[in-house]
Amino acid sequence: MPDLRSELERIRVPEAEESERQARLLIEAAFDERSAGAGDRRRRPGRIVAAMLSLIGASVIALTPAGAEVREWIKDTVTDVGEPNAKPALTRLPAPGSLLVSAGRGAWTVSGGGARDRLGTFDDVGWSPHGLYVATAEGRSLSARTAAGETRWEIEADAAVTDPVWSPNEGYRVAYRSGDELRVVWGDGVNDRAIGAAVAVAPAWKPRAGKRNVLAYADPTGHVRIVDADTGELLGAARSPAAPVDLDWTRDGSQLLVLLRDSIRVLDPEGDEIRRAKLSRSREAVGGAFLPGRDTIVLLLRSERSGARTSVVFVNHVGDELSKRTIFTGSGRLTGLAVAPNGRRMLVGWPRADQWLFIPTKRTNRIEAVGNIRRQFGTGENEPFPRVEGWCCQAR
Amino acid sequence: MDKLGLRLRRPTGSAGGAGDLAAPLPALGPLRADAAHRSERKLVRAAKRGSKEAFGELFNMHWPRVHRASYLIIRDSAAAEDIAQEAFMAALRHLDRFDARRPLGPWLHRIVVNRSIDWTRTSRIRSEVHADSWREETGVPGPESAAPAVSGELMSALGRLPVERRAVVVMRFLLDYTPSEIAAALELPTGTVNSRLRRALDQLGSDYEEAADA
Repeated sequence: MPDLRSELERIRVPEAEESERQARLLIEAAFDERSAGAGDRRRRPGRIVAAMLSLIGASVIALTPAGAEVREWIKDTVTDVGEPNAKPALTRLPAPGSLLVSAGRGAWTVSGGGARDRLGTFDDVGWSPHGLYVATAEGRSLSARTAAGETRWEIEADAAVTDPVWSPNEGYRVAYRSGDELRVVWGDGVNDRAIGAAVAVAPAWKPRAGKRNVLAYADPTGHVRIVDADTGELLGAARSPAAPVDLDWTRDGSQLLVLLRDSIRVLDPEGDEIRRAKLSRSREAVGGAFLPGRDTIVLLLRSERSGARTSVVFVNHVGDELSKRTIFTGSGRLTGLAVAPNGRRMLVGWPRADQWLFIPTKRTNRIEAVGNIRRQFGTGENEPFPRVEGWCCQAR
Repeated sequence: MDKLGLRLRRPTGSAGGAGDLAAPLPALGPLRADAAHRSERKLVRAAKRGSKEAFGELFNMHWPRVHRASYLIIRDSAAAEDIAQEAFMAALRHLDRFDARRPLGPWLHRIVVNRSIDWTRTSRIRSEVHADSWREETGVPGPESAAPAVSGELMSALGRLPVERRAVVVMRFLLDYTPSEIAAALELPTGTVNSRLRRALDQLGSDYEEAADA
């Protein structure tokens, strides 16, 4: 018959094995540092520290004087931070499709074989649904260009253009923000019109909307609005207590993710709430998207407690159950979440490690890391880290 | 015994007595056994001499229980990991001054339990994912699991206890300390520890009965 003691032993600690593994690496590295300090101050290359940091980051280390010593050492070996066995160059993508990348003020495409082509200097970019064109924003200008860089059309807005998002429905519309206004222009550059005031989050086109062009965006009155972009008809709305971090539809257009810094909300196309979950107060969502299907959301969760680190977390929501699984944790920030067209990999940037991480969405595969990302895109240390704006089109 | 068959080891005798709370539990953890203690002393001495392997063995011996204790008190796996790591880093920092004749476990446990209490107090009422039925995938087993739901209910019931009571329950029933040892570790009168234990067990018992009735 179970008693209290055995029941306390039976409660499973979430991610216990991973926690133990990370802690062991930290302790081993700290022990090495202690030994080095007590002995001949030898400084072995930070292989253990690199492995440790790839998993837990310097954040945890900041907690104790011993950790502080390790952290000081880490400063000397910061280039070792990152996933071990990272490839030195991007020679191929581990899933079909092509990448669209913002690096510094330049935009690049990366083919499946790893070939990089610089499109030009832009503030913001977005793929067309089949990867044939790129919507580019530069100052108050919005243009459509071929993937080879040839300009097809260009319009001038009243204020700076950001977040160009091409409709997935055969590319008939492009949404963009100009100042604090959301606008939509047809895919051939005509019929530019205002939709309404919007806050600084990229709008999200609803896939599989039939002949309609349905757009979700966040307005400054604290609502997420779902509208027909052609008629202006309001199809749905939901209160949003804060500006969303991300908006993303499932690929079948049946659910809309409204990601807030402190919570997840999932809406149906009428704006009715299907799901709400609050994050732990110690973590803040900085990015998120649906994986193919409707059951899994991938989140980038940043924690500032005991230092900065960001985790890639899968959230499964099926029926009444929500569960989460931490896939990866890195020191500092992870940026630019992009999911492969086939849904089998996702890509996040890890600026502190100067790496891109191709993370599998199934347990059977391993993370593939590619290093020297700044150098490959000609980006200086003081410029924003190369960011993947889109991973497009299996057939491309 | 409650309706779900969970034996809570309630105090016996008069309401004010310590009853079996003060008695050692029959199944002592291996860390408290003499052989384990001797082994631990050797490992501490070896670690002090610079053996990373020895310190690794100490880590292996103590991490699971230290981490679990923190998690049961604060119910946040990431924070529990941080707090347990802190304890081991502190152990490493003080290794040279540590008296190898004394067991390492109580020293680690005292740090972890006190820091877990502090963390929970400073966090106030946390809007944890648990409150939104957000179950950690690797956490409390769900109904489909081979493990019965008792552990999940226990976790919920623990969460309803004030952190100070939760801590003494964890120290008593997970870490196997006597009330006087708990009192020393938490710098409390033994009577206060006994009182907290009794109230905690009463509350857990009634929670189970409500769960069983529901």
